Amino acid sequence: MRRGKKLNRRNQSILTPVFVGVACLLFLIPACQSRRSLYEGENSARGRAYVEAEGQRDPMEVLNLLQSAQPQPMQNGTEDPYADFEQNWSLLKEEINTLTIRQLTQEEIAQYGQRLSGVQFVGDSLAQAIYDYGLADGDHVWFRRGAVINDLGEETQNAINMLPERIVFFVGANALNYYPSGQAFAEACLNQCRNILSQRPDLRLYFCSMLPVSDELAAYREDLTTAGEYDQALREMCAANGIEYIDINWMVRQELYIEDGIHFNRDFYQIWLRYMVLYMGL
Amino acid sequence: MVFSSITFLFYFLPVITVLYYLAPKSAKNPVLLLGSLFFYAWGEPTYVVLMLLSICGNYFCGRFLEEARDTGTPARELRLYFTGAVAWNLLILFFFKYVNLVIATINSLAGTDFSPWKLSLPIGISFYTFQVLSYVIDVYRGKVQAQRNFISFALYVTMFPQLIAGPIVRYTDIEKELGDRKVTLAMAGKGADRFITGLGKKVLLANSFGAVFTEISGCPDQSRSVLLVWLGAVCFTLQIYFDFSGYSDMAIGLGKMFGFTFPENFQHPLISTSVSEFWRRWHMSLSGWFREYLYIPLGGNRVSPLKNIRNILAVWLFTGLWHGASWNFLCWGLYFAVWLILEKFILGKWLRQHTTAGHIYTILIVVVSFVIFAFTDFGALGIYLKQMFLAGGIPLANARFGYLLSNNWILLVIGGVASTPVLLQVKQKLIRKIPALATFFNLLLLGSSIAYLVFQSYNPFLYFRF
Amino acid sequence: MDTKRRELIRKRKIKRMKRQVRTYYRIQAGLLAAILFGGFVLNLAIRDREISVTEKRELAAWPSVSVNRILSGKFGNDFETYASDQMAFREAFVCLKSDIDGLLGKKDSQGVYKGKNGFYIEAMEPVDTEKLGNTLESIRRFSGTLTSNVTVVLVPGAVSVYKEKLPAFAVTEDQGSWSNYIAQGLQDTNIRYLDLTETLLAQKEGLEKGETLYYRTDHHWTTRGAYSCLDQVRAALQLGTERQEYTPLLVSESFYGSLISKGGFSAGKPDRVEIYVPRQQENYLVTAGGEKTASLYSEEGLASTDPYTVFLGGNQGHVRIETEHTDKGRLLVFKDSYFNCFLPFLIGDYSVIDVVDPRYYAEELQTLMLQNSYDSVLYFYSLNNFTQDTSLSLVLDAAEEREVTE
Repeated sequence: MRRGKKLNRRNQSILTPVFVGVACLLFLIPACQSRRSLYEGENSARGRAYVEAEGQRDPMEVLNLLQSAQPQPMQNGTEDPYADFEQNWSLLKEEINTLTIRQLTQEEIAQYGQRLSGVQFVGDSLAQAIYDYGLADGDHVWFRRGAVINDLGEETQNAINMLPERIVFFVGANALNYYPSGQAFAEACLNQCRNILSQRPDLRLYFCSMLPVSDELAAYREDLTTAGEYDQALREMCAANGIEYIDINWMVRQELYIEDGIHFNRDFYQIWLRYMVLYMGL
Repeated sequence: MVFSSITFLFYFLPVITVLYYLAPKSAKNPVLLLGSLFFYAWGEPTYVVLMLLSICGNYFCGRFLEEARDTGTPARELRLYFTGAVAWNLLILFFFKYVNLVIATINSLAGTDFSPWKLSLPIGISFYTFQVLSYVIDVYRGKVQAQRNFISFALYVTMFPQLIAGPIVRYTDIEKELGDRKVTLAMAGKGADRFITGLGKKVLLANSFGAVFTEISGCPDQSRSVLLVWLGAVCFTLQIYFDFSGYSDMAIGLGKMFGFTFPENFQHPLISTSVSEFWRRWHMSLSGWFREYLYIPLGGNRVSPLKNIRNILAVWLFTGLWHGASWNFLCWGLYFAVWLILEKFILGKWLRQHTTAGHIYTILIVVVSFVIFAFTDFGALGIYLKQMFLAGGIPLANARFGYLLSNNWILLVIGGVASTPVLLQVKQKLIRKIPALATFFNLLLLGSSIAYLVFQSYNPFLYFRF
Repeated sequence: MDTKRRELIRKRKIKRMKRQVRTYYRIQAGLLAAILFGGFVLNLAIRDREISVTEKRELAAWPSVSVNRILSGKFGNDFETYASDQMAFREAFVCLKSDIDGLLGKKDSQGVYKGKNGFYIEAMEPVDTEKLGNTLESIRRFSGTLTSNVTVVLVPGAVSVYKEKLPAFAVTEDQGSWSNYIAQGLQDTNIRYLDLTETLLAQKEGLEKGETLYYRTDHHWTTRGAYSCLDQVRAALQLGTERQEYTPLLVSESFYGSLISKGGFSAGKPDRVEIYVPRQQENYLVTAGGEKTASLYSEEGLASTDPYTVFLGGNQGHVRIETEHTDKGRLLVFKDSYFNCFLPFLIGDYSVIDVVDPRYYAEELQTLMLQNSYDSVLYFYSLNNFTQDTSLSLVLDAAEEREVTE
């Protein structure tokens, strides 16, 4: 018989719930350990403020600072960048007409990339092709398949964040079914421009022509035959508002479309890129 | 499905127990049968058909044999039917488990190039085949009556607690309970208690020892040391012991929860003082099966010593092979046969008189035997054994041994203590004196086991993977 | 009379004992049922979580049911993964396991050693000499075509510098021998090789209390550690001895590093992250991730669960920094995450720094090379990553190929 405190029945019936409770409480230890407090105290306040302040510095200011410090190799004030424009343009037209389009070498693409470093391209799948064919890098082309000019707000903002000097819009047939008329389309384009200019009034904006679909496609898709109308509205809007319109209708050849009749092949874009550089005088 | 998984613990078991307890008495067997089939099909979706085939076939065999005997069929014809029934079962087992071993052996011996059968091993086939054989043999002998209720018979074979790795339950063990059993809350609690013990053994001890052995055997041969390989062998032994006995504990516990009393399978074999005693305590259901259905029919020990030796060799040949379809298992069985024969005729008396020395001797024999058990490749096995017996050209100890020992010594102590009956005795005492403490330890064990199971799927990455 | 009463008392005691034992077993049944059934209900009731922040991955969703998947057994496996991933209180259970391991004396988990003083140290993974050979070969070939001076700087892991903090008898790869191997591989070229092990070991003495050269919970080196190697690296890059002065500034006190997650350890005391602020403010433009900013530090990164991403906002494929020192040279850096905290120290010495992380670099290196002529090329890696890396040789070889075909 054990001496000492006898564990009678009443004591026993308390003990079990107590021990079960203790076991449950023990589980709280790892439960608390698994929580990670992301609480930042006083000590790091100054540091965090510094990081915040740094993050809020205006990159435009810094860009201007850097540009003033740097020698300017690009802009030679005496030379007229458009001097050889007609001549070079004829060369391009020649290649298009004879369909003997030269493929750009990696070196040339790199060089063009250098010259287009202050230009951002924004658009739908037509703009995507620029990136897909390796003619510009991901930092300079912003696109969304199937988007219309209204939907490109995010992409446009991305373009603006890269602090460019110019933004070129290249959109296509998606607009034909979205906007009821050429006017509506032109309105939307104008709105987009206004938004941009309110942020960065010094930006130069360009719109490429609204290109038609291939004849083959137009034959059985009635709704896609109105490209010309929209293009005209766009042209007028640009003229009336001081936005530059880049006419690329002369590049269109039936042979340069891919199977779907809406997008263009690699050759087209070789010409397109060279014309962009030429047109903007870079 | 395995018992030590989140799926089983938190999805299958709650559902099946609720369904079982709510079902009316006449529906309990079908419910349990369906649950067991689901349990098996979860892990083996296609081979459940094979098992059902085996059940149907053996059900009819049983009834046929009994009827044939009752209608006075001549003994010779009856024997023919019986042989056919047994042969058919063994043939299934052979084809799904051993045929590739035979093909591989023929290929290596005769230089031929037969392609192996593309059949995977059905889970638990060794277990349920032996169970069903026990039934057929007992029916033929007239020891039991053939089970007329198909559902009861199917339940006997497929009952999920003992289906995959549980004790080999002979039909006589649960014949009565199949038809009539009762579960009280206290009985279910005994089962729960046992189940938690088994879960802890498997998840906390067996897996941990297994990890140590995996690391040691994974070391390149030259970077091991003698003490390291012995540590590995000890860990592997403990792994097998806790794995198997833990699983049996879970099986017995689960059986109890449904009203079945399964036979014990392990009786603290690691405290044995002789190899003979070891096999009276280890995997008792298997050695019992072989004794009943092979050793004794062959004459057992009631024959001349030479024939006795032959019997022992035969039994151990098959015991070894039963454990796996590879020649090292056969060697493992014969290894034990040799020691058992030595003990029977030479060493037995001395061992009985020197129990401590006997204990040490037994542990050494057993640990070495499990090394044979561990390696299916004879080359690797040879290297490991040589290294263990100082013939491997490696140092006595190295840093890795020190590191693994310092990491695992507590575990080894716990494993050592847990392999003795001490803990159980303490628990029984606690239940009488301070049951709350025993409840507390059960809760800790259960909680820890769940934690280890959850950790098995812990898979972090350095950078976000999306 | 006495014996009869004693008998009675004994019988009663036995009955009481039996009842007690029975009650005990009933309680066990009840508790097991409560836990398992409770877990079942909880698991179904709680909505499935999609990602695990500590594991940095998606958690398994309810597996799709199809006859094919069920028959092949995949559904069963997927369900087990699902059940484990979506277990209620999963993080608490992981911590519990780690605590128990700690009680049992385990000193490592999933390749992370639990060292002394709460210092977690990552083990170096075994090296595939073929991969390493490829990387060295690619570097040699690529640098052969350049006129700029090329430097390779490798940072050892805490496993070399804080050897004394490793648990007793721990067996680790010898980073020193691999460093020698790499040095040999770069021998007959004009590539300068700098292994920072010596520098860091020497700097250990001069630390203040509480300062460490490596984070205690992360595999990276601290900014203090990076700063302590500044002069050596500048010497290797052949920059002058005149440089900016820097003062440390604490930016985060709740940095729970990668090693805690990797090993599944319970988070103890978090680390502190510092940045080094130059005395004279620098002006520079950073182009990263399609955006131009004026700061190398990311506020978002600082506020996130991984404050180390305050440096550069994490790992990007290509970051370009243009500084106001237009008279200085151009630097091209191939790096891993160890360079992120070192970068601010180089701002004052170059006009343009192009930082490329080959693991994430999706552009054409060739274009970059054509557009710029670099005065220096720097390979700045941690030793562990450098020996395991396969993306560097891919990026360099791609540039090579282009050149060959042109």
